[in-house]
Amino acid sequence: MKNRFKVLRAERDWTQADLAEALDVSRQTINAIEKDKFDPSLPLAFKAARLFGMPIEEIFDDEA
Amino acid sequence: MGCENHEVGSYDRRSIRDQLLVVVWIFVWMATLTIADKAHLHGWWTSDWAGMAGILLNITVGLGMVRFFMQMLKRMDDLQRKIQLDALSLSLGISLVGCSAYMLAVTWGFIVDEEASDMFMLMCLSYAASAMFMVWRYR
Repeated sequence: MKNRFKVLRAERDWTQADLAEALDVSRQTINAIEKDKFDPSLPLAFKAARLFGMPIEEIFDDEA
Repeated sequence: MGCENHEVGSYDRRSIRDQLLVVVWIFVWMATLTIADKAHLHGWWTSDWAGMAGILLNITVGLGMVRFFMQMLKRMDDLQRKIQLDALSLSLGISLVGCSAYMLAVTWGFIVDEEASDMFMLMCLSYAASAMFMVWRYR
């Protein structure tokens, strides 16, 4: 599943460490999500959606 | 926001503390195991009650260690939990295959002085290797 974590993070001028701190996860997790090596759980996806202030379907794309 | 990429976040700090505590639990559990074993071997404790108490202490500390590990798994984030669970399942498979091959080797006489500690060693090493492999895989 593709996601826009890297783009959305860059738009806000956040580092991976910033995003990891905001979502209360490890930096390795953010890195793995950005590289599409790992799909986050639903609770983490919702948390990210709230943080970025947009619907989940605008962050994640399961057809890519 | 504005901290650098290499800064250790609050999750990582909690994670490091948990990992240190699990090492302490493992160390204490192994100490109770070694003391109970050596006490029998060298005749430090002559009473059966002392031996029974040593075994009970080992079981109690062991269960405490397992409980702490399960709580630690719950505190982990999605990826770290996946890494640990994948490592556990991989090491379980390796241990199963390794132990059955070991028992076959004992049956055929290729291994003469078999030790239960060889199995422990295999489990521990396979878990450590599996965990390192999983961390590398998601790096």
